[in-house]
Amino acid sequence: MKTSKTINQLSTAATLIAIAISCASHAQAKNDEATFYQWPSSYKTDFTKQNKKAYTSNEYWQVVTGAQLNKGVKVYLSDASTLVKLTPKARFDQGAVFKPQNLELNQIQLGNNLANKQQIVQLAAQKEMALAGFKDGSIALKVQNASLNAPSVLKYAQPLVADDKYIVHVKDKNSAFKLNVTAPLEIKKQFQPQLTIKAELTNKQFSNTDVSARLISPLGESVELKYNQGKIDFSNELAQLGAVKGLYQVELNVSVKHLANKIKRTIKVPFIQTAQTASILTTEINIESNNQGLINVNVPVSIDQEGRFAVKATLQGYSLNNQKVDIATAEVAKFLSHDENLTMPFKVSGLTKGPYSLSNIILTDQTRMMVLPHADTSKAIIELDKAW
Amino acid sequence: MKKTIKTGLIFASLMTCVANANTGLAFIHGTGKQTDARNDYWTSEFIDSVRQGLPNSNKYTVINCDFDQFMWNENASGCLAQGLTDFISAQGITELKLITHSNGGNIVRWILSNPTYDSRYPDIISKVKHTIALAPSSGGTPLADAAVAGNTFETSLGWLLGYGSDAVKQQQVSWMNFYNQQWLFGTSGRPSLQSTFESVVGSDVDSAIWDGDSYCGGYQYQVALEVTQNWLDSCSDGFLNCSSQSAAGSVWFTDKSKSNGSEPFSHHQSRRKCFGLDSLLRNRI
Repeated sequence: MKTSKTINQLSTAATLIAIAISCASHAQAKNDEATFYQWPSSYKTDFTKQNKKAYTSNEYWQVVTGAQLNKGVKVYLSDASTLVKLTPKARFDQGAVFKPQNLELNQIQLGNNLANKQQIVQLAAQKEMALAGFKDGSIALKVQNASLNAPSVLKYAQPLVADDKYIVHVKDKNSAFKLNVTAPLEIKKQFQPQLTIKAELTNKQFSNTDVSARLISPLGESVELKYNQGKIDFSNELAQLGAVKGLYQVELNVSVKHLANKIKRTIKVPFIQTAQTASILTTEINIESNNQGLINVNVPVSIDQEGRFAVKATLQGYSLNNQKVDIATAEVAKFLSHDENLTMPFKVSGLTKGPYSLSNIILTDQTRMMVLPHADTSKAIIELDKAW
Repeated sequence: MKKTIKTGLIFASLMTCVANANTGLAFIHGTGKQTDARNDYWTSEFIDSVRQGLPNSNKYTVINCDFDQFMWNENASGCLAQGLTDFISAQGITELKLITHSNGGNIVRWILSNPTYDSRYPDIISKVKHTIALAPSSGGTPLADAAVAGNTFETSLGWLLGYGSDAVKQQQVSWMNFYNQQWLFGTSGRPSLQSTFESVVGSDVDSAIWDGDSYCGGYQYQVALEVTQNWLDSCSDGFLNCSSQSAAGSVWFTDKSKSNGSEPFSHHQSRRKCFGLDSLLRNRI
């Protein structure tokens, strides 16, 4: 009896847990429900998307081996006070992770052949860096009176495993040499995609041969690229659409001679790839008013790929003295597996009248996180009075 | 007559009590996966002091989510949405105030800016009246860029950014710019958030061994943040530039203008009972 009661209790508990889990599952995945939201007041939803962004770099990083660090690695400092961070870089080999041995600050040597005495101000050993949050084994040093006229040599005195890898990260905070890049935030999906960027180094010219580039996918895969006067051709189609898994990045490394030294800069430029996964048939938008404070707008959406799509728009009409006005801004979203009408039930105050139209229409692919190209206005519709 | 007056007074008190009791406060942590944020992230001392500012000091919740993920991830904003929904429902909250720290501010802005992304969002948005973002990483941080540039196995800035690489990647300066421009409200040139979103900005790190103020929150953290400050602008809290902290919404105040002794809040101290921060928040909510 007792056992049977216990089993029943466990069964009930399990059922309740299952129900709870089901209810707590991703609320975005309720395929048959639309989510609607109307802002308290209308606002301009048209932000003419800026598709260019400017970036600046005063730093560079490079991967070196333990053998190279023991022998001495040239580092190129272009600021009298420079930060250098050394980080062990883990490697993956046949499914296993190998982390290089940690570095001791007092084993670092940084010198050059010049008369000026550049000084290493020991900044932080691994323990301090770990407390600062760099728990990846980094150590950091600051260089005062850095040599600008010739490269310095960074050396690690204690023997390291030859194949182990380390990242040398040099930051010239106040350097006169900054790499400035302007690049698009989005490129359209195509068979042979291309990215066009504008890259300039202040106070220095550079050519194609001074630049190396690689593409880093949102999933961390990396492939070398060719840079030609700001044009970067990707040899293959890009796989990821939108920003949902992160951004693509082009990493540019510029290395150009400067007197007996070099100026080196690394910069990463993020972007996404977009495609027209859905579109709005703006000529078929239907607006119905019941003259009781509710205006239903039906927006037909045609899809190329299934996903959750959102339509945001501002309902426009006329004031009682015939001035065109923005009435309300709202958004509706729903998972679509086929073409469908999305309904926007605008609540209005009644101090406006038709003809109504939609303006500043924005269509978004929420599944992939892309704002889609669209026509941003509909034609004016005379309201259909319906007693409903 | 006396009975009528007494009944009226009781009724009025009850109505007042009901009205005030509907204000709730949620504490929302920064990057990292939390299971006991009350003790591990904020400290009970801080929370128990701040919540005294509520009409009913028991109407509060401390969120525990996985903010090592991208802000739109179900385990990040989805978990936050569920936590707030449960709190609103359980306590009958009609007016919700939020206190966030660091990346928590971005996840709140994700919800406020994308009302139809999740069916739980509209109700939450309608209830949120006021967000106080302590040292929010609204504009990202160069330290995230430094960590990801390394591309190491543990792309981690520890307690600052957490071990989850997605949250670290998202907080790179250029990435936050992208998300601010296309997916988030509240920054320059973008629509405003429809409820108050105000930040508290930390502008410096004090770690003098002889200065007792450097020990508030833990001296070792102050030393560490002085190190990371080398990667940042002179106006920074050791993790975030002031410009990043003030990028979204409005600035309520920058630390020294209101703190006890005009002390700065390092990124660690801005979630601690340091220099009167708790009483400032208590009075603000």
